[in-house]
Amino acid sequence: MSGLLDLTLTEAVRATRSGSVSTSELVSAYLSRIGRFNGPYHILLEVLEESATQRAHELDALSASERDRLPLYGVPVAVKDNLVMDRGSTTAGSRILEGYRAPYNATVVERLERAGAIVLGKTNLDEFAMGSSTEHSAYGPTLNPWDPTRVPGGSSGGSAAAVAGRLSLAALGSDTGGSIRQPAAYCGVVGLLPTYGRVSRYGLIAFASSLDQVGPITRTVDDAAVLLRVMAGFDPRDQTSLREPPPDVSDEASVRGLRLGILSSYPEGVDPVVRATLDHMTRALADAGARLVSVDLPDPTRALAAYYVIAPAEASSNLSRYDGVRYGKRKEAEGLYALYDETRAAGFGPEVKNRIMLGTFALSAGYYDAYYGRATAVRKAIADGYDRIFERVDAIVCPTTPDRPFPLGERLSDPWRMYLSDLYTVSLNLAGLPGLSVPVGLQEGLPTAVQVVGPRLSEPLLFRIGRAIERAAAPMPAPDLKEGGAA
Amino acid sequence: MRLSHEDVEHVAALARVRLTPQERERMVEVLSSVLGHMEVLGDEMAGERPLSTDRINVLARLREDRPCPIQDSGRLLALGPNTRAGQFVVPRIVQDI
Amino acid sequence: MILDNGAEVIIGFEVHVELKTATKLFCPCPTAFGAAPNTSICPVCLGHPGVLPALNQGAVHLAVRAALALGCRINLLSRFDRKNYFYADLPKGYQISQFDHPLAERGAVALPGTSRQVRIRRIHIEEEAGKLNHEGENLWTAQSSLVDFNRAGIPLIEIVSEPDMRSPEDGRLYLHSLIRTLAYLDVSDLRMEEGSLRCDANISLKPADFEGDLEDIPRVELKNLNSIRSVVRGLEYEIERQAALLDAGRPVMRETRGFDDASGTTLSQRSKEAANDYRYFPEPDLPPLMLEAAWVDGVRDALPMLPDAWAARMAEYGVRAQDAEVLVSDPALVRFTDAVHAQGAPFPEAVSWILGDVARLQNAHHLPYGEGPLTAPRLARLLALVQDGRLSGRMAKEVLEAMYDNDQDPDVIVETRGLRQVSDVQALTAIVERVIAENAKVAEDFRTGKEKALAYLVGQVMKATRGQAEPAVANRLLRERLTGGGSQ
Repeated sequence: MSGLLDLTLTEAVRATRSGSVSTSELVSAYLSRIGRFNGPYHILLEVLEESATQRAHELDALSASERDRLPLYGVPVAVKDNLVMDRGSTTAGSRILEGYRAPYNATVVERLERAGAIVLGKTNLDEFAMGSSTEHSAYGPTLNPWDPTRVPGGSSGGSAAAVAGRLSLAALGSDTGGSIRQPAAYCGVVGLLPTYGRVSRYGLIAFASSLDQVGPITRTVDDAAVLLRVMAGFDPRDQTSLREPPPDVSDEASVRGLRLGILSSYPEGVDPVVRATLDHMTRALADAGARLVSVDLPDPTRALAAYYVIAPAEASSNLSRYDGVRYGKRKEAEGLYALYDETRAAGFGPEVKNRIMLGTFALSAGYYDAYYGRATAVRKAIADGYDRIFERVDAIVCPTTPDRPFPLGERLSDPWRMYLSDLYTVSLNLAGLPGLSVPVGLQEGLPTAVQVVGPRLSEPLLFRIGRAIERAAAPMPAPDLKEGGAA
Repeated sequence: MRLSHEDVEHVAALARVRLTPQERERMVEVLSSVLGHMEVLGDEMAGERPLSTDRINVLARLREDRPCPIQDSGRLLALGPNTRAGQFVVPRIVQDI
Repeated sequence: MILDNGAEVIIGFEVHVELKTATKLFCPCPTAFGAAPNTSICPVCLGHPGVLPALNQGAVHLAVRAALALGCRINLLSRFDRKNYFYADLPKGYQISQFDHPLAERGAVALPGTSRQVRIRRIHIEEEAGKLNHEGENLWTAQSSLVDFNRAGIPLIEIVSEPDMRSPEDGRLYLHSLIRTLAYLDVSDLRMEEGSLRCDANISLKPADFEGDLEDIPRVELKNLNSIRSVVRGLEYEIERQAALLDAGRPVMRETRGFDDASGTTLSQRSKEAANDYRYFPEPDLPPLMLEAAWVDGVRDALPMLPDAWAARMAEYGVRAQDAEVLVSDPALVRFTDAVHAQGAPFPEAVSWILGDVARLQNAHHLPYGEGPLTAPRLARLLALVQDGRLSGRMAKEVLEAMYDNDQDPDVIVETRGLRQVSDVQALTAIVERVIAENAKVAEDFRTGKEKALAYLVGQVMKATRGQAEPAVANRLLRERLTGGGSQ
């Protein structure tokens, strides 16, 4: 069976369409892997075994021509638990939504299922996607498949770990400041933050609306391209979604003649392994015909500061709806305002409270200009900065994260240190740009990745460069999961 | 910027989250520390105009004013943690009388 | 209005108007009024996790119509913002509204019967909250409340005036004029008692010796005004209350007060809740709204004629001012009158018929103007028959009533009933002479001074013509024959 789990998405679709493997076999191979390893690694919050099995049977009954019309025919996917589905429960990793059964499907889930994908379950995340380690999940942390003493990154840690650990063929994540790319890097898989507006946010439980995007987490760049094509496109229910048609899938992998921006300097604290791997990779890309051009990114430290004003500000408003009146957990109290205070005190975890407080403060009378106003100005400057860079280069190759998977618990008491992990990712969300994290092999037993950044709607170019990186990098083996987990 | 206990209490009231005394202590430290990192933002202020014209809603792209049948309002009501007579129940709104 | 102590009354209004769209502002739930609680709801208007607002085209259109009719400039680029606060009727913990870039600004409403106008500061679009049903006497005593979200998300416009009114009467005129104008646009039901139009008044007293910004005078926001009468009573009470405070040398508190209809007084609505800090910021789920100038021009061109223009037109055609006031207070009425005029009837005659018998009959049959058997062409034809002298006023009334019963054209009714006024002098003279001859004694009575006898003879002429003679003509001819004046 293990051969089945090693198929890439593209290979799996070919195999199931031809009938050499049934979708039921594929799904049950993944479900049994989940059965063995989900306990110890705590990757999925809910396994939708019954509906997945049933859907696989239905798909198996389709004719060849019907199968050919489904670009994701029989593809098992895992969905981050901040995307709502009208099956099972949707918690966003929070107590306040424990047992919440959403009354509708997120647009992106609907699109995947209509294309033939089968949802295996909902993946663990930092509560409301606020975190960089998945340790802020109210339901306990996910462990890194490469080293169960370390975090898988976050907030889409469950999705990245699911794909890395072969608990799913592909997964959906969401990225507000790095929440797809950072865990993809920590887990050794491919993660794409699409251009803001590429993918509908309808049904994505909002963290920071002007920064949130849904994106694919896969084992290969090709797989990400295939998923994005299905996920992308205008949705009348999301008026911030773009009209541009989804990008075509190609197999272009040449970087010859491309002008690639590389960083002329790094701030202190960037892991030497990260730098060395990146240098090695950019040299390889130069050998493949790319022209390297030194660039300076818009100040990442300022970007991080602006992000940690804007994201909490929007979050403080987005999370006001959790009040115990219309759905979700409620703590009865004497009086309406006591009901709010108690329900929210009991329902939200410490990091969510930090951000709600920070965001409320940043928007409050007397401080709005000093924080939200200035952060908005910095955001604009960052977007302009990238515009200028992309006059000189076609894309930028830089680190995904300044660091590598850190030990569980290491940063829980120091929020800013945790936030630093987003140093190279947040500015793309602020500017609305796409970014692709591609694994470049194992160093000292842990994955390392590089990030490719391009102008708006440049995903096809990012995939092209990503394929070149994949070819130049050492192939990623599968992690050796332990049934005992960290124990 | 360092926040006082009173600042934190005020923000908690606006955010409608009751903090335990320990949480309030922690929040004073956490918020003050994070706000300390915001110095780098500089003094430039945002203009009032929208960010860019690629994010503009034009009339033709808005939703047409055509009603959709109500899916299942009973299901929505059933999700309410406390309902009565087809409505959502909230406790006493005015408390100081 | 200057009070005895020299203080001047300063009044401004914030009027909320529910727009008459088919669906809510941000979701396709029907806006049907009077549905069972929580039956017109969906995940969007209930603020479920993951939902997004999808702005309704129709609401923007109606809001722009209203703003243009009130003389506002439309901001081609406007923006939605979140107003953050917690309340039981507010599903998301914020209301989507417009803060620093409203849809429209700088309009005006004329105060009828004066040469003054009230400036409109701004008009913006926002969403309605749900409805609270208190399980108790009222909000203050209820132990719990039930929330119905059918109304949550219905589109509203908020019309903010400048503080240009100087008396409760000004306030009454402003609201009257505002509502009247909006009625012509068919953008709202405008029912104050049902809450589809709500108004909050801001009132302050400017002491005689005050110099500086009006904004600096502490003002009271008056709420719970459910009729124009309540507005006037509430303002009158507030003027007295604030004047008494000023006279006593005590400060007026800046606060919100609710009007209590039963006692005719206002009560402070201060609560212990954290100070209002709405933390407005741009709504990230909705890009700024851009309208095209050409589209706005098109909406302006398609506006119907508005009451002030109608009143001017009526005056031009010689309609009395007070009649014109009555006519323009009802768009259906004025449009019907105009349609009758367009069919050839002179305005003053049409108006006198419409405000008289037509109004009585339409009301009796519970019909709006222009609906039912009495169409504009029929009324115009009836008036033409009177104009030509073919029908007497009395006959015309008979035909009018018959139209409601039979739903027929006036000519058909005239024909079947054989109604025809005889005003032809020659034809009538013969009849008059015959009546005098046949009633020699009565004629003699008249000649000897019995005035009453003439009435009998007129009656005989009417009888002989089966009522078709014009009584005035018969009267004149009889008098001429009997007194010898004007003989052949």
